[in-house]
Amino acid sequence: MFLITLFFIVAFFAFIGALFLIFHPKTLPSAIGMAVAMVSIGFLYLLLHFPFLTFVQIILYAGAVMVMVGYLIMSQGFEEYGKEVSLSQTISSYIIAILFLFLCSKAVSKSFLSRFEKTYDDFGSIREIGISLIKNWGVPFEILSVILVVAMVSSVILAKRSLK
Amino acid sequence: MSITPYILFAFFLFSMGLIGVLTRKSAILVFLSVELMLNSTNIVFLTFARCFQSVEGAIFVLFILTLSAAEAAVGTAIVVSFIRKQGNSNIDSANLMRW
Repeated sequence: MFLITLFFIVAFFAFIGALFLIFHPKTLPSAIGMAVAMVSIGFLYLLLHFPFLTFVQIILYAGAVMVMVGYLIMSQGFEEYGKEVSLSQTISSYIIAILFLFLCSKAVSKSFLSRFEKTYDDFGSIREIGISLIKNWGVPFEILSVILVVAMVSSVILAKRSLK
Repeated sequence: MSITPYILFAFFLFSMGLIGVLTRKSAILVFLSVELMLNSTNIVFLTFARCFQSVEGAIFVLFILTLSAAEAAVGTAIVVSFIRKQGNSNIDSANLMRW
């Protein structure tokens, strides 16, 4: 009972943040709503017994991505962003989203769904995640580091002033 | 407790991100909506990892988080060079390769 109350509080905050992201007319409050939603999703990970991923999520989104995006918004002056999308496009996008939601909830209601069992003691700790990462997922881990280096170099090259 | 609220909430966040991608005009907000959709898939991964008592879902979430960080770096660089070229961040002015 306590857990489900906590879940609804956290989900409410994430919902408010997502509402700001998709409806607020200005850019900076939308990005701040996005940060609120990301931190709330991180606490949702905590409710699922993954505290390490909570810290990673908060550091990554509220720390890295939001600082970068906020700096970009404030330095480039994003406040004017042109006219809104047309009414037909808005209505069709809502219809697509509602159809998707309806389809997925239908699939969930038809499928077999289990409940959360009590976990063992060490579940979701840094130790267990690290052991599984090194033992079973070593090659994808190294490929990810290569991808990060490529992303770093390419973002520096893309954002340089002249491409000549 | 049942896992249904988590799954339904993840689908709901995914639909909200979809609406954001399809209706926002500013390139940086479209990019942030894509991040919201990525995070809703993370919730599904972790819910089933917790349900089946396995950490493989957490490993996949780590990979997705790393990829979204790389995507954030490249995406902001693309938006910066786009603004430098076009003067604004309206995605309708990205029409060079449109037919």
